[in-house]
Amino acid sequence: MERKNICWKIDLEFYKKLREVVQAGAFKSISFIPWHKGCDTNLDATCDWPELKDLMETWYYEIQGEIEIHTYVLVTPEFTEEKLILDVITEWDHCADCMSEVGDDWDEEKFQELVFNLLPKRLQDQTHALDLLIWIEIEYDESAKSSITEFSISLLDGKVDEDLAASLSSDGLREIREHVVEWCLGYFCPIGDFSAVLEANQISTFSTYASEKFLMIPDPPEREPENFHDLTTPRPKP
Amino acid sequence: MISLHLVRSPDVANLWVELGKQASFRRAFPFMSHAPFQRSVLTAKQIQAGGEVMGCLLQTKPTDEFSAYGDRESLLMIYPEYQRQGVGTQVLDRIREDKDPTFFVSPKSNPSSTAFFHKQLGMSLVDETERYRVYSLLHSGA
Repeated sequence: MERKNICWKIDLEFYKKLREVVQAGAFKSISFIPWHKGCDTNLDATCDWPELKDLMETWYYEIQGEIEIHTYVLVTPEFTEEKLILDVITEWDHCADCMSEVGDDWDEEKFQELVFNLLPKRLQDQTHALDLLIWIEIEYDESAKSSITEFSISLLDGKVDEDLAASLSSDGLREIREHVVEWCLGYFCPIGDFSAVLEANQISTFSTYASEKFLMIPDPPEREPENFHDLTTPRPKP
Repeated sequence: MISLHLVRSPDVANLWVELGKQASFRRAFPFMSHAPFQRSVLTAKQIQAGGEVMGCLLQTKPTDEFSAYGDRESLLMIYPEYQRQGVGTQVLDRIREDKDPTFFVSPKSNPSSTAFFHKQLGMSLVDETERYRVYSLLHSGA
Protein backbone atom coordinates (compact mmCIF):
# COMPACT_ATOMS: atom_id res chain seq x y z
CA MET A 1 0.00 0.00 0.00
CA GLU A 2 1.34 3.40 -0.98
CA ARG A 3 2.12 5.54 2.05
CA LYS A 4 3.02 9.20 2.28
CA ASN A 5 3.89 11.31 5.29
CA ILE A 6 2.56 14.83 5.16
CA CYS A 7 3.01 17.73 7.58
CA TRP A 8 -0.24 19.65 7.99
CA LYS A 9 -0.71 22.91 9.87
CA ILE A 10 -3.88 23.37 11.91
CA ASP A 11 -5.13 26.10 14.19
CA LEU A 12 -3.43 25.98 17.59
CA GLU A 13 -6.66 25.76 19.60
CA PHE A 14 -7.94 22.93 17.38
CA TYR A 15 -4.60 21.16 17.81
CA LYS A 16 -4.66 21.43 21.61
CA LYS A 17 -8.19 20.14 21.93
CA LEU A 18 -7.59 17.38 19.38
CA ARG A 19 -4.47 16.22 21.19
CA GLU A 20 -6.36 16.24 24.47
CA VAL A 21 -9.16 13.97 23.26
CA VAL A 22 -6.78 11.67 21.40
CA GLN A 23 -4.54 11.30 24.46
CA ALA A 24 -7.61 10.57 26.56
CA GLY A 25 -8.67 7.84 24.12
CA ALA A 26 -11.96 9.69 23.60
CA PHE A 27 -11.64 10.04 19.82
CA LYS A 28 -11.10 6.68 18.11
CA SER A 29 -11.83 7.36 14.44
CA ILE A 30 -13.93 9.14 11.87
CA SER A 31 -14.95 7.88 8.45
CA PHE A 32 -16.30 9.57 5.36
CA ILE A 33 -18.31 8.11 2.51
CA PRO A 34 -18.60 10.76 -0.19
CA TRP A 35 -21.35 10.89 -2.80
CA HIS A 36 -21.86 13.44 -5.52
CA LYS A 37 -23.43 16.13 -3.32
CA GLY A 38 -21.95 15.50 0.10
CA CYS A 39 -20.68 12.77 2.33
CA ASP A 40 -21.90 10.51 5.10
CA THR A 41 -19.78 10.92 8.22
CA ASN A 42 -19.42 8.45 11.08
CA LEU A 43 -17.65 9.63 14.21
CA ASP A 44 -16.42 7.17 16.83
CA ALA A 45 -15.80 9.42 19.83
CA THR A 46 -16.94 9.68 23.43
CA CYS A 47 -15.66 13.19 24.13
CA ASP A 48 -17.96 16.11 24.90
CA TRP A 49 -16.93 18.19 21.90
CA PRO A 50 -19.92 18.88 19.64
CA GLU A 51 -17.81 20.71 17.05
CA LEU A 52 -15.41 17.81 16.50
CA LYS A 53 -17.39 16.28 13.63
CA ASP A 54 -17.64 19.58 11.73
CA LEU A 55 -13.99 20.44 12.34
CA MET A 56 -12.84 17.04 11.10
CA GLU A 57 -15.14 17.26 8.10
CA THR A 58 -13.66 20.66 7.21
CA TRP A 59 -10.17 19.18 7.59
CA TYR A 60 -11.14 16.27 5.37
CA TYR A 61 -12.16 18.62 2.56
CA GLU A 62 -8.94 20.59 2.98
CA ILE A 63 -6.76 17.50 2.59
CA GLN A 64 -8.69 16.03 -0.34
CA GLY A 65 -6.11 17.27 -2.80
CA GLU A 66 -3.45 15.27 -0.95
CA ILE A 67 -5.17 11.90 -0.82
CA GLU A 68 -6.06 9.37 -3.44
CA ILE A 69 -9.40 9.28 -5.22
CA HIS A 70 -11.76 7.33 -2.96
CA THR A 71 -15.24 6.21 -2.04
CA TYR A 72 -14.44 5.65 1.64
CA VAL A 73 -11.95 7.20 4.06
CA LEU A 74 -11.05 6.07 7.56
CA VAL A 75 -9.14 8.54 9.74
CA THR A 76 -7.55 7.18 12.91
CA PRO A 77 -5.75 9.58 15.26
CA GLU A 78 -2.77 8.67 17.42
CA PHE A 79 -0.46 10.55 19.75
CA THR A 80 2.96 8.97 20.09
CA GLU A 81 6.38 10.39 20.86
CA GLU A 82 4.86 13.86 21.28
CA LYS A 83 3.51 13.71 17.75
CA LEU A 84 -0.15 14.02 16.82
CA ILE A 85 -0.70 11.93 13.71
CA LEU A 86 -3.85 11.28 11.69
CA ASP A 87 -3.60 8.01 9.82
CA VAL A 88 -5.74 8.18 6.68
CA ILE A 89 -6.67 5.05 4.77
CA THR A 90 -8.58 5.48 1.54
CA GLU A 91 -10.56 2.88 -0.34
CA TRP A 92 -11.85 3.33 -3.85
CA ASP A 93 -14.59 0.88 -4.71
CA HIS A 94 -14.78 1.25 -8.46
CA CYS A 95 -18.29 -0.26 -8.41
CA ALA A 96 -19.70 1.81 -5.53
CA ASP A 97 -18.58 5.04 -7.16
CA CYS A 98 -21.95 5.60 -8.78
CA MET A 99 -20.36 7.70 -11.50
CA SER A 100 -18.05 4.93 -12.69
CA GLU A 101 -19.00 2.50 -15.36
CA VAL A 102 -17.77 -1.00 -14.60
CA GLY A 103 -17.71 -2.51 -18.07
CA ASP A 104 -19.45 -5.46 -19.55
CA ASP A 105 -16.19 -7.26 -20.29
CA TRP A 106 -16.80 -9.74 -17.50
CA ASP A 107 -17.98 -12.97 -19.14
CA GLU A 108 -20.47 -14.47 -16.69
CA GLU A 109 -21.09 -17.64 -18.68
CA LYS A 110 -17.38 -18.32 -19.11
CA PHE A 111 -16.96 -18.00 -15.35
CA GLN A 112 -19.88 -20.33 -14.66
CA GLU A 113 -18.43 -22.87 -17.12
CA LEU A 114 -15.02 -22.65 -15.44
CA VAL A 115 -16.44 -23.33 -11.97
CA PHE A 116 -18.80 -26.01 -13.27
CA ASN A 117 -15.94 -27.92 -14.96
CA LEU A 118 -14.04 -27.95 -11.67
CA LEU A 119 -16.90 -29.60 -9.77
CA PRO A 120 -16.76 -33.36 -9.18
CA LYS A 121 -18.42 -35.35 -11.98
CA ARG A 122 -21.25 -36.59 -9.75
CA LEU A 123 -22.26 -32.96 -9.01
CA GLN A 124 -21.92 -31.91 -12.64
CA ASP A 125 -24.43 -34.62 -13.49
CA GLN A 126 -26.97 -33.08 -11.11
CA THR A 127 -26.84 -29.53 -12.37
CA HIS A 128 -25.96 -27.21 -15.25
CA ALA A 129 -23.26 -24.56 -15.58
CA LEU A 130 -25.75 -21.72 -16.11
CA ASP A 131 -27.61 -22.67 -12.92
CA LEU A 132 -24.61 -21.81 -10.75
CA LEU A 133 -24.76 -18.67 -8.61
CA ILE A 134 -21.27 -17.99 -7.30
CA TRP A 135 -20.29 -15.66 -4.47
CA ILE A 136 -16.58 -15.07 -4.00
CA GLU A 137 -14.34 -12.55 -2.23
CA ILE A 138 -10.69 -12.28 -3.14
CA GLU A 139 -7.87 -10.25 -1.62
CA TYR A 140 -4.73 -9.47 -3.53
CA ASP A 141 -1.61 -7.79 -2.20
CA GLU A 142 1.12 -6.07 -4.11
CA SER A 143 3.50 -9.00 -3.73
CA ALA A 144 1.07 -10.75 -6.10
CA LYS A 145 -0.26 -13.03 -3.37
CA SER A 146 -3.98 -13.57 -3.45
CA SER A 147 -6.42 -15.47 -1.32
CA ILE A 148 -10.07 -16.37 -1.28
CA THR A 149 -11.69 -15.03 1.88
CA GLU A 150 -15.31 -15.98 1.14
CA PHE A 151 -16.69 -18.51 -1.30
CA SER A 152 -20.07 -20.11 -1.80
CA ILE A 153 -22.11 -21.58 -4.61
CA SER A 154 -25.85 -21.91 -4.80
CA LEU A 155 -28.14 -23.03 -7.58
CA LEU A 156 -30.91 -21.21 -9.35
CA ASP A 157 -33.31 -24.09 -8.61
CA GLY A 158 -31.55 -25.16 -5.38
CA LYS A 159 -31.92 -28.86 -6.09
CA VAL A 160 -28.51 -30.12 -4.82
CA ASP A 161 -28.19 -30.37 -1.04
CA GLU A 162 -24.43 -30.88 -1.00
CA ASP A 163 -22.11 -27.91 -0.38
CA LEU A 164 -20.81 -27.26 -3.90
CA ALA A 165 -18.06 -24.86 -2.80
CA ALA A 166 -16.66 -27.41 -0.34
CA SER A 167 -16.48 -30.02 -3.08
CA LEU A 168 -13.81 -28.10 -5.01
CA SER A 169 -10.16 -29.12 -4.71
CA SER A 170 -7.45 -26.66 -3.70
CA ASP A 171 -6.23 -26.69 -7.31
CA GLY A 172 -9.75 -25.85 -8.45
CA LEU A 173 -9.96 -22.96 -6.00
CA ARG A 174 -6.59 -21.70 -7.20
CA GLU A 175 -7.80 -21.78 -10.81
CA ILE A 176 -10.94 -19.81 -9.94
CA ARG A 177 -8.93 -17.30 -7.93
CA GLU A 178 -6.40 -16.82 -10.73
CA HIS A 179 -9.18 -16.33 -13.28
CA VAL A 180 -10.75 -13.52 -11.24
CA VAL A 181 -7.41 -11.92 -10.38
CA GLU A 182 -6.21 -12.01 -13.97
CA TRP A 183 -9.43 -10.38 -15.20
CA CYS A 184 -9.26 -7.67 -12.51
CA LEU A 185 -5.61 -6.92 -13.29
CA GLY A 186 -6.40 -6.63 -16.98
CA TYR A 187 -9.60 -4.62 -16.62
CA PHE A 188 -8.86 -2.25 -13.72
CA CYS A 189 -5.04 -2.13 -14.02
CA PRO A 190 -4.69 -1.57 -10.26
CA ILE A 191 -1.44 -0.56 -8.60
CA GLY A 192 -0.93 -2.31 -5.27
CA ASP A 193 -3.44 -4.15 -3.11
CA PHE A 194 -7.00 -4.75 -4.14
CA SER A 195 -10.05 -6.75 -3.14
CA ALA A 196 -12.79 -8.01 -5.40
CA VAL A 197 -16.24 -9.36 -4.59
CA LEU A 198 -18.47 -11.25 -6.98
CA GLU A 199 -22.13 -11.60 -6.06
CA ALA A 200 -24.26 -13.99 -8.09
CA ASN A 201 -21.49 -14.26 -10.71
CA GLN A 202 -21.14 -10.47 -11.16
CA ILE A 203 -18.37 -8.15 -10.00
CA SER A 204 -20.06 -6.10 -7.27
CA THR A 205 -17.03 -4.60 -5.54
CA PHE A 206 -13.55 -3.81 -6.71
CA SER A 207 -11.54 -1.81 -4.20
CA THR A 208 -8.05 -0.35 -4.26
CA TYR A 209 -6.37 1.20 -1.24
CA ALA A 210 -3.91 3.92 -0.30
CA SER A 211 -2.69 5.34 2.97
CA GLU A 212 -1.18 8.59 4.17
CA LYS A 213 -0.04 9.81 7.57
CA PHE A 214 -0.66 13.45 8.44
CA LEU A 215 1.63 14.91 11.09
CA MET A 216 -0.38 17.69 12.67
CA ILE A 217 1.56 20.90 13.28
CA PRO A 218 0.02 23.64 15.48
CA ASP A 219 -0.13 27.04 13.81
CA PRO A 220 1.16 29.22 15.41
CA PRO A 221 3.60 26.91 17.22
CA GLU A 222 2.45 25.86 20.65
CA ARG A 223 5.24 27.66 22.46
CA GLU A 224 8.22 29.78 21.46
CA PRO A 225 11.39 28.91 23.38
CA GLU A 226 12.30 31.62 25.84
CA ASN A 227 15.52 33.57 25.18
CA PHE A 228 15.60 32.03 21.72
CA HIS A 229 18.55 33.10 19.61
CA ASP A 230 18.94 32.24 16.00
CA LEU A 231 22.55 31.12 15.92
CA THR A 232 22.69 31.31 12.15
CA THR A 233 22.10 35.08 12.14
CA PRO A 234 25.30 37.13 12.41
CA ARG A 235 25.27 39.27 15.52
CA PRO A 236 26.42 42.86 15.56
CA LYS A 237 29.88 43.21 16.95
CA PRO A 238 29.99 44.87 20.38
CA MET B 1 -28.06 41.43 -12.58
CA ILE B 2 -26.27 38.15 -13.04
CA SER B 3 -25.28 36.56 -16.33
CA LEU B 4 -24.39 32.97 -17.15
CA HIS B 5 -21.34 32.32 -19.30
CA LEU B 6 -20.89 28.95 -20.93
CA VAL B 7 -17.48 27.43 -20.28
CA ARG B 8 -16.42 25.88 -23.59
CA SER B 9 -14.85 22.45 -23.71
CA PRO B 10 -11.18 23.48 -24.01
CA ASP B 11 -11.56 25.54 -20.83
CA VAL B 12 -13.56 23.01 -18.81
CA ALA B 13 -10.42 21.11 -17.82
CA ASN B 14 -8.99 24.33 -16.39
CA LEU B 15 -12.27 24.92 -14.59
CA TRP B 16 -11.93 21.58 -12.79
CA VAL B 17 -8.40 22.44 -11.73
CA GLU B 18 -9.46 25.85 -10.43
CA LEU B 19 -12.54 24.57 -8.63
CA GLY B 20 -10.61 21.62 -7.22
CA LYS B 21 -8.33 24.03 -5.36
CA GLN B 22 -11.25 25.29 -3.27
CA ALA B 23 -12.32 23.28 -0.24
CA SER B 24 -15.83 24.76 -0.50
CA PHE B 25 -16.23 23.21 -3.95
CA ARG B 26 -14.81 19.89 -2.85
CA ARG B 27 -17.34 19.94 0.00
CA ALA B 28 -20.20 20.73 -2.36
CA PHE B 29 -19.21 18.20 -5.05
CA PRO B 30 -16.98 15.52 -3.51
CA PHE B 31 -16.76 13.57 -6.76
CA MET B 32 -15.57 16.58 -8.73
CA SER B 33 -12.11 15.11 -9.28
CA HIS B 34 -13.54 11.82 -10.59
CA ALA B 35 -13.21 11.54 -14.35
CA PRO B 36 -16.59 9.76 -14.69
CA PHE B 37 -18.28 12.66 -12.88
CA GLN B 38 -16.55 15.17 -15.13
CA ARG B 39 -17.73 13.21 -18.16
CA SER B 40 -21.31 13.35 -16.87
CA VAL B 41 -21.31 17.16 -17.04
CA LEU B 42 -23.40 18.37 -19.98
CA THR B 43 -22.82 22.09 -19.54
CA ALA B 44 -20.75 24.22 -17.19
CA LYS B 45 -21.57 27.90 -16.76
CA GLN B 46 -19.91 30.58 -14.71
CA ILE B 47 -22.19 32.94 -12.80
CA GLN B 48 -20.99 36.51 -13.24
CA ALA B 49 -22.07 40.01 -12.21
CA GLY B 50 -20.18 43.27 -12.31
CA GLY B 51 -17.09 41.53 -13.67
CA GLU B 52 -16.95 39.15 -10.71
CA VAL B 53 -17.27 35.38 -11.00
CA MET B 54 -19.72 34.47 -8.24
CA GLY B 55 -20.16 30.76 -8.74
CA CYS B 56 -20.86 27.98 -11.09
CA LEU B 57 -23.84 26.14 -12.53
CA LEU B 58 -23.33 22.59 -13.77
CA GLN B 59 -25.87 20.48 -15.58
CA THR B 60 -25.17 16.78 -15.49
CA LYS B 61 -26.62 13.56 -16.75
CA PRO B 62 -27.73 11.88 -13.54
CA THR B 63 -26.62 8.34 -12.77
CA ASP B 64 -27.60 5.60 -10.40
CA GLU B 65 -30.56 6.35 -8.09
CA PHE B 66 -30.72 9.98 -9.27
CA SER B 67 -31.60 9.05 -12.84
CA ALA B 68 -35.12 8.31 -11.56
CA TYR B 69 -35.72 12.05 -11.14
CA GLY B 70 -35.08 13.10 -14.72
CA ASP B 71 -32.54 13.40 -17.52
CA ARG B 72 -30.83 16.52 -16.27
CA GLU B 73 -29.63 17.42 -12.81
CA SER B 74 -28.55 20.97 -12.00
CA LEU B 75 -25.76 21.61 -9.52
CA LEU B 76 -25.53 25.14 -8.23
CA MET B 77 -22.55 26.52 -6.34
CA ILE B 78 -22.32 30.11 -5.17
CA TYR B 79 -18.93 31.10 -3.77
CA PRO B 80 -19.17 31.59 0.00
CA GLU B 81 -18.46 35.33 -0.20
CA TYR B 82 -21.45 35.83 -2.54
CA GLN B 83 -23.95 33.67 -0.68
CA ARG B 84 -27.06 35.15 0.97
CA GLN B 85 -27.20 37.97 -1.59
CA GLY B 86 -29.92 36.60 -3.84
CA VAL B 87 -27.49 35.33 -6.49
CA GLY B 88 -28.75 31.75 -6.35
CA THR B 89 -32.38 32.87 -6.64
CA GLN B 90 -31.51 34.89 -9.75
CA VAL B 91 -29.83 31.82 -11.26
CA LEU B 92 -32.98 29.77 -10.64
CA ASP B 93 -35.02 32.47 -12.38
CA ARG B 94 -32.70 32.23 -15.39
CA ILE B 95 -32.98 28.44 -15.51
CA ARG B 96 -36.76 28.75 -15.25
CA GLU B 97 -36.76 30.93 -18.38
CA ASP B 98 -35.18 28.04 -20.32
CA LYS B 99 -38.22 25.88 -19.53
CA ASP B 100 -36.06 22.75 -19.69
CA PRO B 101 -37.01 20.25 -17.01
CA THR B 102 -34.31 19.84 -14.42
CA PHE B 103 -33.99 18.91 -10.77
CA PHE B 104 -31.74 19.74 -7.83
CA VAL B 105 -30.46 17.47 -5.06
CA SER B 106 -30.01 19.16 -1.69
CA PRO B 107 -28.00 17.14 0.83
CA LYS B 108 -29.35 17.35 4.37
CA SER B 109 -25.77 17.47 5.66
CA ASN B 110 -25.24 20.84 3.97
CA PRO B 111 -26.99 23.57 6.03
CA SER B 112 -26.40 26.27 3.40
CA SER B 113 -28.09 24.16 0.75
CA THR B 114 -30.97 23.26 3.07
CA ALA B 115 -31.56 26.92 3.98
CA PHE B 116 -31.37 28.03 0.36
CA PHE B 117 -33.88 25.55 -1.03
CA HIS B 118 -36.19 25.89 1.96
CA LYS B 119 -36.84 29.55 1.17
CA GLN B 120 -37.34 29.10 -2.58
CA LEU B 121 -40.99 29.62 -3.51
CA GLY B 122 -40.76 28.53 -7.13
CA MET B 123 -39.70 24.98 -6.43
CA SER B 124 -41.49 21.82 -5.52
CA LEU B 125 -40.18 19.10 -3.25
CA VAL B 126 -40.48 15.91 -5.29
CA ASP B 127 -38.76 13.44 -2.99
CA GLU B 128 -37.03 13.20 0.35
CA THR B 129 -34.73 10.49 1.68
CA GLU B 130 -32.63 10.14 4.80
CA ARG B 131 -29.73 11.88 3.03
CA TYR B 132 -31.22 14.42 0.64
CA ARG B 133 -34.20 16.28 -0.76
CA VAL B 134 -34.96 16.52 -4.46
CA TYR B 135 -36.50 19.69 -5.85
CA SER B 136 -37.78 20.58 -9.28
CA LEU B 137 -38.43 24.03 -10.69
CA LEU B 138 -42.00 25.20 -11.10
CA HIS B 139 -42.27 26.75 -14.56
CA SER B 140 -44.68 29.62 -14.95
CA GLY B 141 -47.69 28.65 -17.04
CA ALA B 142 -46.68 25.01 -16.93
